[in-house]
Amino acid sequence: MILEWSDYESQSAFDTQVLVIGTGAGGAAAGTELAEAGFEVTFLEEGSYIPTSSFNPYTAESVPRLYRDAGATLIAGKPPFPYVEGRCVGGSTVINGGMAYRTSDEILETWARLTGDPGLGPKGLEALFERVEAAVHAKPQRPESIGDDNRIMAQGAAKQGWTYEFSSRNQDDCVGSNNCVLGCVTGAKQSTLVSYMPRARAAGARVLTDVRVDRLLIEGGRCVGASGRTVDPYTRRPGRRVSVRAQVVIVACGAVQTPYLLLNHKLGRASGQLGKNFLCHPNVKLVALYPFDVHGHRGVSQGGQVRHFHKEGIILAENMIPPGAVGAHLPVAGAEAWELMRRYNQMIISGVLVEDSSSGTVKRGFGGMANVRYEITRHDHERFLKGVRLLSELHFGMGADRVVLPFVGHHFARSMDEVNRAIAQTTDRRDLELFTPHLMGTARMGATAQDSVIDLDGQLWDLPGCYVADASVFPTACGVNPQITIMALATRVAHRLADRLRPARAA
Amino acid sequence: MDKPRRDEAARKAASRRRLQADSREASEALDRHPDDGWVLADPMPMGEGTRRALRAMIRAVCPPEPAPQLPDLEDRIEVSVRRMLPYMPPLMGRGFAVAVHLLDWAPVWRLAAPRRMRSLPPERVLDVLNGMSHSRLLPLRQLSMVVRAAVLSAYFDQREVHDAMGFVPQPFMRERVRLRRRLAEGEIPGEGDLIGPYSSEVAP
Repeated sequence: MILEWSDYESQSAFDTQVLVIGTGAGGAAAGTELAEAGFEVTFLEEGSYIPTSSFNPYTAESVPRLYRDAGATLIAGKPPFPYVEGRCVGGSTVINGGMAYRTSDEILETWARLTGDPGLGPKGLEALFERVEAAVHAKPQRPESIGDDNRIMAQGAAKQGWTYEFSSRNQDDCVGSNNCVLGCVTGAKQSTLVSYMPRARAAGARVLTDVRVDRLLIEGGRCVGASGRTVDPYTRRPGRRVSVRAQVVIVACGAVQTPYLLLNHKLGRASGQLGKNFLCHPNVKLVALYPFDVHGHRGVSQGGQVRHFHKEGIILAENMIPPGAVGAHLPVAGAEAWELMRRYNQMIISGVLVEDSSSGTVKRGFGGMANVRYEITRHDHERFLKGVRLLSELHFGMGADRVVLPFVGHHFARSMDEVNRAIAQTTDRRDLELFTPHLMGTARMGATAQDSVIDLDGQLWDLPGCYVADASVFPTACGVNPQITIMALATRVAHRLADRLRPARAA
Repeated sequence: MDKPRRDEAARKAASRRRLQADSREASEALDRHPDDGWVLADPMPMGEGTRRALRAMIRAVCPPEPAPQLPDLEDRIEVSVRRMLPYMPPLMGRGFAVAVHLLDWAPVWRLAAPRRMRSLPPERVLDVLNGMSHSRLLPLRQLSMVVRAAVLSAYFDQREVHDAMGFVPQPFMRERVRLRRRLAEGEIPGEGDLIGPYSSEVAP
């Protein structure tokens, strides 16, 4: 059963066994596991239920439907840069590129060492990864989904002698419609909207949409539910209050909204780590223009990645986006904007992703906004410059006649000489145009209350009955697209919670 | 039944259909405004002065000919921008209106012209905005970037603009929806189901 804003006129108070706040990678995986284990599960989701049949390739309507704050979410710092996250049933899995990578063994070994729990190491998580990958059909693409931008990236990497790996993606017969960022129109991308959530509903879970949770219900030092306000769809102002009482609550609102909610209750005091260790895999975009049609909007987004420089924390990939989204990132306006965009069919949009070497913070800000702060380091700056140079070499090597660089004041280059000049002049970190969709690590998991926010079962150290199951629990950055790792850890939280709840239910 | 109530009833009926829809079922409709009961918010209210300033920026930022010139361009872009604002936190929505006012006066405080943007020709407005976007001062760059991004995002989402760019996504996407259905029925895909190559420069 799915309820929406107009349904709460008749009922606004609910009871359940397990309340899950959020339906993205973490919430959907944890809630589905528990629903299928026989527990009564209710999801509270801030966004709306938008089924596959409603998706379309138009930015102006899809962005407010699917993205938090219509995509206008910003990380403050030097430089400030936008981040995006989903706000709909399925959360960010509905709008991401669908990469299905496991966190590397090296990083998982670090997690095991930091937490003292071998269960967070490669062997400990192996079965969970397999379970999650089966649930979302993680596998390489079909040949019918590969477009010319993927071919150019693969052939360009081969020409340079670099390793190019075809991506494992959560997809079931993806045929390359390339609408990942506005909702997959074929239903092939296995977002939680089409993978976990139908299973949860089939197991009897209830989904309350259009409710923004603003506080937890706490009685006698224990979390017993959550409460939030509906949103008037015409004005977007807060409406009726909706409350759900539960035996246990799983918070899975993502690495920004989870600490935002928990900080309202002044939790995590022992360690002071709540809202700290914010990680985000910052990246920059580079647009390459070819003298022939590429039709990058036909064919899968990120069919593969250049992983030759992964050891240095640099990944290169293409990631085509619709014209409305490209328009929002253009460094020019008027006639110059048209001069670029009339060649949309000749564009390849590619990016440089850099693994974090610093961390930021999330705090409660003014006016209901989270105050997210993050600054890249000089080391990151150097890696971005290197990544842009490498990507430019790849594109010029494949015949591109122009690239649009992510450097303030030095946006255009027609040769590697011009790229190198632009790089030499981009000495200030504030002159990079950054962006990120990967948010992690603000309520980290650990073995003691002195150095972490949640315990190894996922429960808050200082609020019994309240669990966290999203990217905020990561002890460090995962170094790859995070959704598979989020799902695996959420599944672990759900299994351990089920083990705790079963004896109580039997009694 | 009067029209507003009839519309409301129709919307609720469509909403029921959407909530009962299988989340996995694809459609070949791909409509810009699917009749699924989901309500797009009303445009954020804006004072007449703010709107005049915003429209001056729209005229300047949107590409001139040979880019498509739509008869109701300013209306469409203005409404599209104002519809996005209610989805942001209220402080940010109001901040956008403040940014428009600051930019309106930018020719004066940048000592570029003795008049506000709303009274300047589009070319002069664009000069001022471009000057700000190359400023060494980050807040000035961001101020011009906010309006440019909002306007160009809406402009490059218009159907006529897509047509002029040769971006016609629906036929391709419909064909892909049908291909996936064929695969689900067990059909073996053929050569014709591959995408591209569109140029001899790209090896298959």
